[in-house]
Amino acid sequence: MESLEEKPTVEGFYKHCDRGELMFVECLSCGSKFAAPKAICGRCGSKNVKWRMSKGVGKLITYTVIHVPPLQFKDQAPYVVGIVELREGFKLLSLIRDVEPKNIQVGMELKVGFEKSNRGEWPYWGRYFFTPL
Amino acid sequence: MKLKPLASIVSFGLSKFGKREGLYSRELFYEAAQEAFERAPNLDPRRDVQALFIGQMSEYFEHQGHMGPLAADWVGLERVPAVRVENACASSGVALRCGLLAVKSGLYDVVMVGGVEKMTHIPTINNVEILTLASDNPFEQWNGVTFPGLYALMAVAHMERYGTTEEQLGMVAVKNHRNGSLNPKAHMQKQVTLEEVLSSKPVSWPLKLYDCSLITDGASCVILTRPDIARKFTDTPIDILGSGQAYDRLPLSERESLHSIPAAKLACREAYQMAGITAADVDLAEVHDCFTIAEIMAYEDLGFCGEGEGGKLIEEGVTELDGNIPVNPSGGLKAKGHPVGATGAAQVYEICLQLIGEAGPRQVKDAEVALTHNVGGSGATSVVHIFRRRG
Ligand SMILES: [Zn+2]
Repeated sequence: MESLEEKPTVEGFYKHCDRGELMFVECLSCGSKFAAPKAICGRCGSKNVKWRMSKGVGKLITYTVIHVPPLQFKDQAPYVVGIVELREGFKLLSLIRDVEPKNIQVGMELKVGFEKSNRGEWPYWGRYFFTPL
Repeated sequence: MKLKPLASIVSFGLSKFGKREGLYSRELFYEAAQEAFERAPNLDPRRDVQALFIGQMSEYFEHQGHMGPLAADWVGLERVPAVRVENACASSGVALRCGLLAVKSGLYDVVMVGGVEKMTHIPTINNVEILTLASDNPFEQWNGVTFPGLYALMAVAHMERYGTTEEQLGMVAVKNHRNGSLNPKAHMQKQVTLEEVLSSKPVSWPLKLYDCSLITDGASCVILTRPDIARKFTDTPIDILGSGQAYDRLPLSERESLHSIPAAKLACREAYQMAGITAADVDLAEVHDCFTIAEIMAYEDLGFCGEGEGGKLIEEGVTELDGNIPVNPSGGLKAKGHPVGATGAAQVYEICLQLIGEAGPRQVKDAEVALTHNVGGSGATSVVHIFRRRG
């Protein structure tokens, strides 16, 4: 796929989300994997980093239920935010949807979903979220 | 222990912390500076102070940037270099380090460092919004996470791994409110019970209202000199023996550990090595308890106990005022309050009062060596300093 040859950028990550694709970056020198795209591997300093596409399945490693939200989320509280460890071995902070706070637990299996941005202003790109598998 | 200090503190000042209606941050900084100037009558600010480093987290609170020259002007300094330092909630801990580097370089003999933030005049939701700017925008803010949220993620990771309980978190709040009740400059001088903490309303589960530090107005300042000239200005200099600072990745998800703050461990190791001490030499500490879990992790990151033993340490009373290592005798961010940009230097203020024996009813007995631990954001900045009373 042609897009995998692009240089990883933050905007690129979200343009992929717009197409329903969850990307991550792999360092070909040390094998470390991370979500927030950058030009230099944070672990070994190599610039030999490449896009990879995730299957979007992973497990919840920690979470919280937010009752006091920031402005743009004021109509959604309470909602769940967690950190997901994807099967490919990278981690990502995400909204966790379609789960009652009382039913959520560390270790539960989750899968990625996407939605279009409804902001009408920059940043225009789509967003990811996770739901129970 | 190291004999030659990096720099010495010859004076210090703190505004009253709280809801300071009718005052701009420049006026709060003036209040802190006046105390510092009064403590050191031999110091002429206009003649002696050669630079100012002032921490301020955000210009959005008051729609006021460019705080360096503004603050310098308001406290009557000569036309010296005046620099605003921004490292989120560690802004003035880092400002202290900048002042230290400036003195240690030999460029200046006397510098002023401090911090300020005015927060209470805007609604809570706007405060949440501004504070959240210290997290990663596209990978954290877009997902609706807040600062209590980020620390709650660490709290759950700590609870899952070590069995830390909500009661243990609550005990940190009870202790710090008890200490704060003895501090006339604290924002809240009221004690709370464990029951009240545990039944307070959820902010970001498992963190409840009483697990969170306060939104506060306040300012702090410290005057540093070359160690060899400190006695010109005071009979009781406080020497800075060690200074450590480290960064980590902004997104919490990319840290090596979710149940500790790796940058705090690095900063602490650097400061201990520089001072030539270990955790066992520390008589008291002011740590960054922005949330109760943060104090539990600080115990572990600073080596006051082993990993995962922070909950037990608070339970055993080791960090109480009369314990083996009193932590946050001032009341901490929890009760004294957390005007974010002022916090790092406010911690130093408390350490100075304690080391010269002027902390009144909250005085820690026989304190000689003390530590401050100041954290920015969810831990992407950490800065640790070691102080000793000059004998
Ligand atoms: Zn690498």
